[in-house]
Amino acid sequence: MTRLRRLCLVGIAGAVAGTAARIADPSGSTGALVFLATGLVLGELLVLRSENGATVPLSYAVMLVVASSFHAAEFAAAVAGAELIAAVLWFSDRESGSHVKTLVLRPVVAAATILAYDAVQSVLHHREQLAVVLAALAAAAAAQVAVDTGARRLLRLRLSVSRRARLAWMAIASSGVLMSIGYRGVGGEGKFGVWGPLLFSTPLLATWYAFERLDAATRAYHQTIESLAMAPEFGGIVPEGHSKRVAALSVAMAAELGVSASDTRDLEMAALLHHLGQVTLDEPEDPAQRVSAAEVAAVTGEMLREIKPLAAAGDIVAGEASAPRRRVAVQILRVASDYDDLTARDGNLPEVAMETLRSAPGYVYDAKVLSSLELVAARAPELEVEGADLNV
Amino acid sequence: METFPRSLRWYTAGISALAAAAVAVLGWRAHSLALEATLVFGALAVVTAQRHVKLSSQVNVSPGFMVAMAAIVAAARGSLLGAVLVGALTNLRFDQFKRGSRGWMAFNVASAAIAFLAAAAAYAAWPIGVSERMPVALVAVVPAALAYLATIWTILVLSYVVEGVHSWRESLAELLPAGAEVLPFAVIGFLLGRLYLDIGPAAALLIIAPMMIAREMFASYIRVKESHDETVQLLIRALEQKDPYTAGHAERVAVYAGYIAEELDFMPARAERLRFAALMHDIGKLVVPNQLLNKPGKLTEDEFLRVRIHERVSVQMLSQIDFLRPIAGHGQSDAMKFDPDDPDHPIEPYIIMVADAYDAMTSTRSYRKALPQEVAFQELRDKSGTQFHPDCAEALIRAIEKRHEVHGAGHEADLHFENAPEMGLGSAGLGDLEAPKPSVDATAESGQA
Repeated sequence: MTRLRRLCLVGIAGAVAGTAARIADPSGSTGALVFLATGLVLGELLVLRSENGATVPLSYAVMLVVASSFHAAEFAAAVAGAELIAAVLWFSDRESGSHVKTLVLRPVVAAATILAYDAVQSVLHHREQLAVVLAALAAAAAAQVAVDTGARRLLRLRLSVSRRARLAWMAIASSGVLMSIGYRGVGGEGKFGVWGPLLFSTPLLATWYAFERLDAATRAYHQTIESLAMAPEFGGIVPEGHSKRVAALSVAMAAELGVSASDTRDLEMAALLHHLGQVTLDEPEDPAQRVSAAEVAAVTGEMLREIKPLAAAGDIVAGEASAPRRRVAVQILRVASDYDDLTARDGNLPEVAMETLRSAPGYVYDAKVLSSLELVAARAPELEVEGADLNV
Repeated sequence: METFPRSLRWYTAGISALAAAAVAVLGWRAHSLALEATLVFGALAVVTAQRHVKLSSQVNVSPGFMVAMAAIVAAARGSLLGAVLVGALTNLRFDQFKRGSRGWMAFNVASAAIAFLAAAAAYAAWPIGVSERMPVALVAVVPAALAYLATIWTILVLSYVVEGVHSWRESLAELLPAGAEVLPFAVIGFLLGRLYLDIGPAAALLIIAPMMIAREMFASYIRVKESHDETVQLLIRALEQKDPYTAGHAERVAVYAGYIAEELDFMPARAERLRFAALMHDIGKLVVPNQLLNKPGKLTEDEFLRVRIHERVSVQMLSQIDFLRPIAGHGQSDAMKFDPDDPDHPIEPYIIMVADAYDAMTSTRSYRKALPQEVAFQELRDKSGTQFHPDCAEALIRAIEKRHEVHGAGHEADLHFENAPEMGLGSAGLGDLEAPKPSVDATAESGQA
């Protein structure tokens, strides 16, 4: 079942159940609780995704609404019911690996949400003062972040602390607070009922849509680069998987050496594409001859520098980086590529390859960069990456 | 940014004078300015005006309208002046302070001030207000939104007419789609204004945070998309370095594919996917040795097989890209032919095939000169239903004729080799490669791009 169908199914079923509950209990809050529980299920199906695939569900915003407006038992029932339905939908998807862990994570976050909210309300007494309500909601949102992050570390689920992840949490928290106030009001004022969370969720839904578009565009961009990186492999110029292995090694070494995130991105692009220029060169008359590495670097660097977003990667490939931080990137790429040539192409053992690199004259390889390679290679002696299927 | 046209100077002066007069009259007669609301939403308006994102030619993401609508509600019918000032500030873009753009700034600020005055007046005159129960209260935004639209459209249509670029009908047709985004923003603005009345400025901060984050993500999305576009240029340059005869080929195939998509009423997202696939359809040629790609004349059987590998490489490389997989998975192969018995086959590969074949026929190659357009059209028609998808072939011919474009012999846009040898009909570069005949045949018409 597609996500759109699931969303429609849940939305329609929730609307019917909520209306029925409201008819059966016109003066009570059961109908509203059913509507909000539906929001929790829908929020489980819509997530804000970071670069590394770590997610924050929109249901956390709805959790704030329910925690701030209902008793603990009602909150527990709504969360349990919603998670149960979400679990059924997840498992029908057959991608159940991480969902089992998510099923453990959500109740823990839910418990932290209501405990934090109630704790601040109890301590500050004036439950219907705007400042107290805002403080309690902020504490509940902060508890969600802390507990979700901690639990993800324990459960070894994907976790991100990138700028995009921080923005995702901010969007969830601010929308959750707004939706909560929209639902319950403060001191009897500004009470919109279920219309509040419904309408105030619009900015959050716009945020979700923007995240989805960005995620799809980023994925397409990286896949296009990776696809281009495979051309030299298909052309028989480099061994299968060379570009991806060099990219993975380079990124790991950059992390060891404390290279900034943006420089690491440029380095990764440079590593993926560092042989691309060779496909544009004429084949040598004598098959035993090889095109010189310097010529390949110059041609590739020139090509990449003509493309604005890849200009920095072009400098790294061409080895013409003037800034010290870029010179580190140039060194990393050189070491990673030569190491992969020695191991994957020439069939040397990692220790032999390391020794060969170490025994080169001092001006060829930077000692710090070699040390970082040693650390990375010791941690993951064989970087498993998917290369081109050359059986075409 | 486009320079402000001279023809709009008097018109802009007129609406600016009108806006200034309105502010003066309102300021003179106002009992109160609703100062706090004006300051809070005015500040928000200035911030949102600088964070404007243009998603496409028709869709803008601008929370400015929402902020101005909230100001109208927050002023609680007490201050039209506050609403006008906030509305004007939603269009105060600092990047327009520079020389050449100030005219646009004056035009935008004045027209927004007048349009929001109309919206505020409509809201004040409407009997349903902020104190009604939900969802009835939401009806309050309808007259305000309609008054805003009617006023701003009138100002814009008149400006187009004064400038002489469009008739009023064409102008209105261009503006109408943008009206759809007004009502949702009006509803959120209404709620924000109502919440402001209850809980004060905190409401503004809470709603603006996710809006600004959404804006940041949209801006990042556009940057990534531009990077992606430029990266595809990398592929095209690499291909052109290998085979100068095909300079501009990928872009032209993408343009022709776009023509066909338009004729077949593709949705924008689908047309965009097709454009990428068309730009990248020859990606596999990267692995074909230059000597083979540029060989004038006939290929040997071995060379032919080596060249042929590029089709499968193209499929495999395009399959690495999620959004192109549905197209690549069905074999964007030069050997592919139209199969009327396979209704599940997506039409996109057939579109690229027709566009590729047409461009190759109407371009000069290393083995023959370009063919005249009529010959290319005839070839498409002759092989329609057997080699080419009939709808795609007809759509391309129709689109080119509609645009009065002429391609082919003597009309190529990027003619690189005027003295190319005439080697017979040949074909679409690699577009419809035919295997060399086993026997020696001097008139064989196979070749490569």
